[in-house]
Amino acid sequence: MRWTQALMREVAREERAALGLGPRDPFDPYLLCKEHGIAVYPVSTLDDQGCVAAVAHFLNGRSRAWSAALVPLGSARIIIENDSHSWVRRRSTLAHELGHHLLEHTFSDVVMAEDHTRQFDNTQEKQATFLAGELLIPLEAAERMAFDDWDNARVAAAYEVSEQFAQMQMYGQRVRASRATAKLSTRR
Amino acid sequence: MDIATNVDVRTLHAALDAARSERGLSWRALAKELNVSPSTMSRMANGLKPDVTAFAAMTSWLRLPAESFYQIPGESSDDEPELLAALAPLLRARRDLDADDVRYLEDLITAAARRFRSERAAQDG
Repeated sequence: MRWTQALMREVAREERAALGLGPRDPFDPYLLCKEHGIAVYPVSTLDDQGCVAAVAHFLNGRSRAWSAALVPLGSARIIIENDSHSWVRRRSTLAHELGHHLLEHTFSDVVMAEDHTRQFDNTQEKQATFLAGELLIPLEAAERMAFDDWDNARVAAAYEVSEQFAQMQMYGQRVRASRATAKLSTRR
Repeated sequence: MDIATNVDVRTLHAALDAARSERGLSWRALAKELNVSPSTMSRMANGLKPDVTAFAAMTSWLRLPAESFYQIPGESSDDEPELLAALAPLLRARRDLDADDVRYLEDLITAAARRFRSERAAQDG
């Protein structure tokens, strides 16, 4: 399937609507995983499964090495996430994994969360990142906040994302908002 | 909404997958044709049963009798491929993970898969 930005926005709109969310409501990726029957296992909850050393490895020593994995079990999908990472990072990582799932990317290209650009299909990575952005901060919300002159900290707090993520979603809309404001002021 | 409790969800999902692939439909497009939510299709892929209305829409779309998808007690259609055999080459191909990372990730994936299967088995009763 050829995914355009418009089509991906439509997917995000449908999925958000299925959770009863309007375009400006904050989004919970854990809730959408539940809606789709995708089990999410934080690493720290797996220490009773005979892998204490592995849990300690990713929670402490090599915490930054890995953020999440979307794992196929036959037709099923589960997500294992590194819950030593910050809450906002976990939310965006999970939204990214959901992006792969919702865009029906083939599994051979999708394994290991947002930092696998070097090894995997770059187009699909960009698509999953785009969809994650639209799930967490839809265009309509970004437009409104740009015109209302919200800074990154305010956007980040309202939508439970990092300020860096907020900047990524807001940049284009801020450019548009400032152009529109400049146009208005020259007319006056 | 009533759940179609005695449905062999794996067989039904596989039948839908084959039919939609043949017609060139994505899962999302199929959900729209069936007038069900896309999450209904994902939930089935994850071993959760559809509600009776969705089940009827699916068998009708497949043009197959509902009885074709009734579960036979004691029979399991568990045919998952060996998980780590498929994943190990992908993990090892990652340049940002060292040998310990890969080994520990394999442990975590095995543990999560075990938990998932036991949770689904408990759900199926």
